[in-house]
Amino acid sequence: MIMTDVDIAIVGGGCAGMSAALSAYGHGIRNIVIFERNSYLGGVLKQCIHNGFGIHKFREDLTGTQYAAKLIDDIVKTDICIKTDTIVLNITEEKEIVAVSSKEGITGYRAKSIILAMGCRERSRGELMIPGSRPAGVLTAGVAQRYMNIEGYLVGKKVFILGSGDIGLIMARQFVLEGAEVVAIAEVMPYSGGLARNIVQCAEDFGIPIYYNTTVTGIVGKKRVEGVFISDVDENRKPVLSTERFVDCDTLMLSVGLIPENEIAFKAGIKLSEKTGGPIVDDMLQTDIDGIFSCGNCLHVHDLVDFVSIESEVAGKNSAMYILDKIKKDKKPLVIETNDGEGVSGTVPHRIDLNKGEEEVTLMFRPNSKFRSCTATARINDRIISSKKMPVAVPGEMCELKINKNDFGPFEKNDKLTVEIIP
Amino acid sequence: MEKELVCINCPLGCRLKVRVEGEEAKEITGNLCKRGIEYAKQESILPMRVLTANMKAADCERPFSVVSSKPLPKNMLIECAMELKKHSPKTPIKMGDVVIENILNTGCDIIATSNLPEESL
Ligand SMILES: Cc1cc2nc3c(=O)[nH]c(=O)nc-3n(C[C@H](O)[C@H](O)[C@H](O)COP(=O)(O)OP(=O)(O)OC[C@H]3O[C@@H](n4cnc5c(N)ncnc54)[C@H](O)[C@@H]3O)c2cc1C
Ligand code: SF4
Repeated sequence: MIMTDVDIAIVGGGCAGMSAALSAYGHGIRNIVIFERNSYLGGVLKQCIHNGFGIHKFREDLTGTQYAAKLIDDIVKTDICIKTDTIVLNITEEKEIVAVSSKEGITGYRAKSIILAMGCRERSRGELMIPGSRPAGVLTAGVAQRYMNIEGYLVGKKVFILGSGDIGLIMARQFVLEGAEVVAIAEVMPYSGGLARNIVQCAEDFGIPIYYNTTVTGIVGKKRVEGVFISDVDENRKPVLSTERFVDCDTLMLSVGLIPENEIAFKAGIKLSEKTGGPIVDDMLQTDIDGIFSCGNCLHVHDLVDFVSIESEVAGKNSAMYILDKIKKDKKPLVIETNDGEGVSGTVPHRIDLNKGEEEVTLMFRPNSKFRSCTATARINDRIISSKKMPVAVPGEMCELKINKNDFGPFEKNDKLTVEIIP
Repeated sequence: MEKELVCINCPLGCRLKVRVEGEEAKEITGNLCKRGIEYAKQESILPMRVLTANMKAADCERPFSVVSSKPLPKNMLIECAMELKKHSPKTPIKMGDVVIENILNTGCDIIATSNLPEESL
């Protein structure tokens, strides 16, 4: 196969891929290619017609489509090469890439650096193991959203929703505004993972009930969904079958979580984190393979696109620094690993190299339950390196803690930087 | 009349109690900051919402998306969404185009947030 040489190859043309590309371009790299399997750039933003995007980055309340347009406008002003309708099948440790498109067939690339920006996929019915028949009318929220907003058809008239996170809620409202009925939303937890804004404006506004501590225990229907069985769950989230009852509906929409998309990273031998589902990265967002970076929802699932942009600009910049040989390779690494302490899950980055990268590092993590007036801290043994007070912390919103490499002080080889939320 | 609301302005989600007399919010309790007061005043008297939805053009299978130029009264939301279905403008539609002016006399315009036909990128 003929191999085309490029400086940076970016897998995925969503917010993460485009933001990383623009940042690398801004740092002087010209030979950049973005591979995108869809026929358009923008990723999930293109199917998000609701507003609530860009408040942090652009200080404007934009729709997802408007946010995407801003990035695309900037991309087309550059000579970044865009390969839409092109799926990356394989990448290797040597940074070789195999892509396939209907136009060009199978093509090969050799890159100096790769940025992984594949986004995430949705947990499906199979992963939930809901028993019952397999009729039409069972689909995930993202698929329903794409049908409605990109293809233009209504997927059901009487919809039951499992999962009360933001995506489920946003879709509930959209069904109503398109003229469908949303019977109810079932949530297995005692609370919704969604923003208060979405609970009020997407469910309460339209009188859609949310059944907490409830799950779907069966699907009924031969050709098309005719209804679902729902049951209360006990404190271990196990269904109490004596409470099972039938709900009439023609569609079951699942909105039960997202998983970073990392099949090609896994095949390339990149180490993945069990907690986030994304690659293990250092503070430059570099994976355990030199020169391969990761950002956006394929690194860890984000709630706000603004933070995807900010994170991906870091990956793009460091990819450029890697190529320009500005990552102090002569300096010996001085690495400390991060560790989820009390109240915290999924801290990113997983390691910090004190001799490389920027002086200031942003730690990102999720609270594992709801806290009021709490403190987030990062410590090495008993020594607190950074802390900040937060009026509230909820699992639905990622937290940040900034930390300066000059504040680390001495540490032993096996010491870890523990991130905690203390009530 | 007493109304109960959840403030949506930050993740604290304060539970607000508002005593409404006629067209006025009299007594507001439960808020931890003054944004809660502003919200309670607006929300208990005239709640407003941004409308986002899809529309169809006269000559294209695919939909395009729209947003209201500003928030409109909540009780007009569904009526306005149904009104959108009565309009089918012709392509090309460009992001930022006003597709309906002053929808149902709300003072809000309906603005396109996508292009039709979609540009090739
Ligand atoms: C329904 C929904 C509602 C949301 N609501 C909000 C909101 O109100 N406010 C907000 O700020 N944020 C919101 N978000 C979050 C935000 O939109 C996302 O976090 C962000 O857009 C993710 O960007 P990304 O580039 O990481 O992923 P994506 O947008 O998923 O992009 C990844 C891209 O990679 C491509 N790809 C994957 N694998 C390959 C491959 N092998 N070869 C080629 N291409 C590949 C995919 O086709 C895709 O285009 C929402 C997200 C969703 C899904
Ligand atoms: S009143 Fe203030 S503190 Fe309470 S939810 Fe509203 S914005 Fe947050």
